[in-house]
Amino acid sequence: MSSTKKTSYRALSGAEAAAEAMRQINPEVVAVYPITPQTPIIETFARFVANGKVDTSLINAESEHSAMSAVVGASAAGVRAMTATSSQGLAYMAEVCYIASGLRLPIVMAVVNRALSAPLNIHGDQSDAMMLRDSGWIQLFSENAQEVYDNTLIALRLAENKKVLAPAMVMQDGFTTSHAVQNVLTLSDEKVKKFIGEYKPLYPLLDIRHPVTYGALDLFDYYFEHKRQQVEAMENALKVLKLIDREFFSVSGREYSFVEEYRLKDADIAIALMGATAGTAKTVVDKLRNKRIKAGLLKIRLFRPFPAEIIKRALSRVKKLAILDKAIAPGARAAIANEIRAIFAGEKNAPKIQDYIYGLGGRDIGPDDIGKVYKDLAKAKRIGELKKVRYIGLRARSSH
Amino acid sequence: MNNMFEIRIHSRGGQGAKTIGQILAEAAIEDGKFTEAFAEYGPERSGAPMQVFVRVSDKPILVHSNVKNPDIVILADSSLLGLVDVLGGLKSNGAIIINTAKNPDEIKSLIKAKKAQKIYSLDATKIAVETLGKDFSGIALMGALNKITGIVSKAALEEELEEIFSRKKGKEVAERNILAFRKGYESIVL
Repeated sequence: MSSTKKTSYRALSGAEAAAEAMRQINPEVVAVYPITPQTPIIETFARFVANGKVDTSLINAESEHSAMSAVVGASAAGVRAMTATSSQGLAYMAEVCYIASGLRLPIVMAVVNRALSAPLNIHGDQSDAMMLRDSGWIQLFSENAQEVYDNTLIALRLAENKKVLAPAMVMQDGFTTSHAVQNVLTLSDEKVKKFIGEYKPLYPLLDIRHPVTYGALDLFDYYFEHKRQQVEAMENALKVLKLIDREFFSVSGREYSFVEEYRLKDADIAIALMGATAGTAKTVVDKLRNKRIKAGLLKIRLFRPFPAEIIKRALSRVKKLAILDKAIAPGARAAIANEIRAIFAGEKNAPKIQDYIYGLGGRDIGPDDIGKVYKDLAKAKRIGELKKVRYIGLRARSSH
Repeated sequence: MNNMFEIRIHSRGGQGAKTIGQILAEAAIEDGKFTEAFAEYGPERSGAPMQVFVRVSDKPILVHSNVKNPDIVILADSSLLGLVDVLGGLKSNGAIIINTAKNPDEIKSLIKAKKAQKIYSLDATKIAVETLGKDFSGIALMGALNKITGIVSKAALEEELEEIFSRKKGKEVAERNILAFRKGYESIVL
């Protein structure tokens, strides 16, 4: 870049960071359909294609259902294939997402989280990802554009590992991350090439000397066993990701684990959440710590497979915990709350837990809102004082 | 959050506010700083009120919510006065930069600023029309901002203007944008 530059940081939005990782991965096939707020990913990537920066065949599909179908076909054929979407696009892909995971195709998809209709809303929440939490896809959540970039490269390695062979979604918050220009460090093309390695598909459909069938009928005789194998794949993913994270650290100097424990070790009160709000919460934790209040944060990066053991250990000393979900489950507890509460079911020394819903449809959540959550926690003396669920920044009487 | 400088821009879609955010962010990084720039979109359409937020800091920026207590507010379109709360949350020693053809005294009577809050005004639209041929007033406002606070260096901003507009629209357009930037800079008397 320019000569006066004082750092190696680049100014990239979350969407551009995803596209940059895709450029360096240089997949043989990318099939997409535009949708806000995913669109800048594919706009940026399409420019790379047009300018000859990648060798990718870019397929502008007529819908997300077709985009995912094309990527499934390409991946089964034996090449790296990627896509990107948001919200309604992911909903429209859902049917084919289960096919991708059931066929054990290591597709990596950038998901820019956005609220689901209706009411119509283009802004960020995590309902779309939660809709597919049981689809057999790996789900990694990113706090900022840097993590989007890093997670995309790591996800590719994880998905393609032959003990795993599961597709992966790399999440970022719609607008909050996708459209925010931030400082991002990228690796050189050579380093990325070396880190991801050459793709060697195990059972390529187009290897006609070793014929295979994808998508065969699988009734009560074997379907059950095949679904059980997906469980095994996810269990393996926990072991494999640990190794890939370590390798990524040696390449980049950036250290990742399944969850980030921010000032959590001696915390009495803590928040658990995932995505961009983790960053905002860290600033609140720092402020509280300056006032000698023992506050901490658990940021969940890996939601599928759910790293229950690690989370249990991380939260075992916390006295009071707020679980913040950016998705709603009418008639039931929200997703993260469900998972974490299940870990502590029947445990004597479990933290007292308060569920919260926040940020639906992109409702802004700032340090003051998060400060209030910690205050609620600090105040609550008995579990009876904790409400079933609280809503952050919600209007009118139902907020408490 | 020490040393964090926060800017909020009130604008209408199509006036260049998002471009200022992008340029400020890129120039801040050129300067070796940390930054975050983003827009709050309603329905994305030309002429609709919108906000752009920019943070600049010496340390990594962790907070990702909207800017609530800016150091500087830029009002890129004075027709928004009375429609949006332009002074909302502005730091008690903060400043507001207004794009208007009205004289500074008249503007001061319209804006109920606190004692220590400074009000600056310039006719950025006129500068934009003269230099760029359209109401893309953001660039002149960025010049004014740079005169008032050197949080991002003039050299880095001009370099980014050169780079971004040369790449997108050619060298001549880049030069005219730098001229708009300088005119905005010069129109502020501290």
